[in-house]
Amino acid sequence: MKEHDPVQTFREEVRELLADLEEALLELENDPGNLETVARAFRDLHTIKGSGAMFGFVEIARFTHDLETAFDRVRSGELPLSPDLLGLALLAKDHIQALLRVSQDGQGLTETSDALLERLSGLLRAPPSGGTRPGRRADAVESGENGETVRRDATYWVRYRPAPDAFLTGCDPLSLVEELAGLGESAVVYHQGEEMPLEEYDPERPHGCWDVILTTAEGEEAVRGVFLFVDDGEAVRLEKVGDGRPRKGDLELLAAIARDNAQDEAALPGLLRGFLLEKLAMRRPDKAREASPAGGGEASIRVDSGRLDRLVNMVGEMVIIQSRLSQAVNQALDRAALAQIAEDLERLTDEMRDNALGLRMLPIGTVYGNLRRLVRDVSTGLGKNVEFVAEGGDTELDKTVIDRLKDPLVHILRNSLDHGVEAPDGRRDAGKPERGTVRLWAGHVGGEVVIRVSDDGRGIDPAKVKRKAQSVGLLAPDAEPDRKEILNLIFEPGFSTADKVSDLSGRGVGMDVVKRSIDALRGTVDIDSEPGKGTALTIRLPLTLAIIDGFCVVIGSGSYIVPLTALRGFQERPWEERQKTVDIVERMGRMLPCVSLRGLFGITEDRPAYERVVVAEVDGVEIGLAVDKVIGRQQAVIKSLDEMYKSVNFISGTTINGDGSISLILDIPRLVEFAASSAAAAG
Amino acid sequence: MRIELDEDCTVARATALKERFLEALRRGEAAEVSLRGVAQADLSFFELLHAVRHGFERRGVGLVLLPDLPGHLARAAGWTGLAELCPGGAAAAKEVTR
Repeated sequence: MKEHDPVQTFREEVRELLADLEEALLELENDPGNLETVARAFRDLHTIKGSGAMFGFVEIARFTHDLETAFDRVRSGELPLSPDLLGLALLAKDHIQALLRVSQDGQGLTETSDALLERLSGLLRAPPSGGTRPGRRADAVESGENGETVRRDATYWVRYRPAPDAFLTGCDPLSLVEELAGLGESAVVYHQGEEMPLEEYDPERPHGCWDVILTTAEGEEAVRGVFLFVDDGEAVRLEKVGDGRPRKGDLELLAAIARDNAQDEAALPGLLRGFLLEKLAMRRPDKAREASPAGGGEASIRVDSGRLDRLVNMVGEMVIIQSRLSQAVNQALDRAALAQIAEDLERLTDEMRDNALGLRMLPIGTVYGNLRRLVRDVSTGLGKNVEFVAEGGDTELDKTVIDRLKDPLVHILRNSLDHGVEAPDGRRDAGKPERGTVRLWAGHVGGEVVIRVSDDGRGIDPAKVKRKAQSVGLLAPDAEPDRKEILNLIFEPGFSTADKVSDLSGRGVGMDVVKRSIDALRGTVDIDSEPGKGTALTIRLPLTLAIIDGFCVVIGSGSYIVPLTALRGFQERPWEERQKTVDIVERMGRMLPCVSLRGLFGITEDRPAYERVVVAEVDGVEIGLAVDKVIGRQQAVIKSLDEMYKSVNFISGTTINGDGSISLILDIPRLVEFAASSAAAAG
Repeated sequence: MRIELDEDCTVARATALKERFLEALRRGEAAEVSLRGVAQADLSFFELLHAVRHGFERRGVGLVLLPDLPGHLARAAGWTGLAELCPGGAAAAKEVTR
């Protein structure tokens, strides 16, 4: 891989811009009068076009140009933002994404470009109808039906040089400046007149001049109106230098430009205009900073994920060295010195681990834009009215987890839209608002990330699920599972209650795939549903896939890691002759099932007189796992499984111990399933 | 010497004010100007202060314009590049106004 491939960088940046554009367009569907969002969409298009041309992506530049023009017209109030234009813009966004994947001249896709541009051209020619002119909130724009002009903020540069006879004619230049400043937000820069000996100075005529940078929604005429009686064609120069409302800090910076370039009157408006355009282009990162929960002061960087992976591997190695050093402490003579080193190294390792893993963390909100679009497109296709509420977008997750989470989330959302949320008629009949809600929530709970997708749709009928499961043989005819067990049947392969097969879901594949995907991320997925009220799917995931905290246990000559999240305690029991593989053990007055891992794994080496019982929790139920010895807590750097273990589903990975030996990391829920099925087969 | 300015300092008195400063300059004494008593001021006054400041500087004569201009003239002072003449200076006469 090239270290710095500018074309690749361009592609990555445009993908980010397209994601932002899509988000802006979807926001505009709900709030078409939002001028800031229109400006954001325009800036995204402007940057895509400009950088496309710079990097030789001529087709992207050509295609984006017309769309940018359309949004410029929307921005300036010339063109209403109609649903047709928004829909077309979304298609155009998809098309630009497709153009990114082909050659720079857009080979094979230029016809599609032309077709979309033709549609755009048709929209631009059509008389304005059904759209909203941005500039005010959508509800305020309604008053535009009466024909009044909707005003928009713009920034003007005014150079005012009072006429030599101004005082003689009764003009008060300062009052004009005051009147001008009263039109909006302003920065006033005064330039002194020519220096001269005091004796020669004429105090009865003006000497200096002003540059006023004014942001106002009153329009150019109102600005000119201030000078109606004093402008002889020489006194005032006025130019619009930007659209929209710059920040106060920007006005001060514009004032500084005016101060520094006072003599270059001809060039000044261009300088101001260029500054504002640059600021507009920089607005997107500003926005990201504002959205950051920690506020300012934090910067983000683009990091090559391969480099990150290497760093994480190095951290893994360091963890191993630290572990070896800790062991050496027990054998060395100068224990105090070694212990200090071990302590320092441990602290460093922890910090380095947290930092390195932090580099891989991304907010889950990075996929919200795509999901919002999916909900929009799917619900429109189904003729359903659905509001998508996405919360907790700043919740961070390992990049790999986010990448592998997209497909399951897409499937869950499609299921919600297809089977969950009812059509408007159905909702009305059920006494619900016509507009359904699909809610996506993410957050940290304990040491895990929890993602919940819920809807207020028709819910799942347990009786129907049970009948279906019995009919396809997933459930015995006389089985009496509880509600939770019934609902969990939807995660079984081949299960579907959909009466019709649609192109979205209902083919009997899907939720089992979702479960497998989440399992592969060492996560869990739960479902809860109430008929008529809705369904909620809750996904729980580890923060990272790279390192886990666990306890090292030994059986015979092999060592294993029990993940800390599953661990509830330890106790011991004497070893008895004729002990079964699955037995029971008493814990605090309760009887728990206990699995002898020695028996389960078929280990015949010498056994200790007393076995240690590791108490773990699976699905809210405690279970004992009998082992020979508990070594202690260990950070396990997860390595991928060797081929020979790939078929053993209760081993989720391996790790290297301090002495260089290897431990197998146990997947406790799968291990318990395996023990249960082994016991059932045995007897 | 100390110069106390008062009442209206508008174009109507501009020439007289200039003469007063010139007189001080001719004496070659360092001057301290108090603006506390100024009731009204227009552009001619603030521009005159700029010219006086340059005039004293050219001759190497000390001049102190005291920052005691009444608050109601703060914005005008700010708009003519003399925000420092008001108590609180630039903050009171911030150039960016709403």
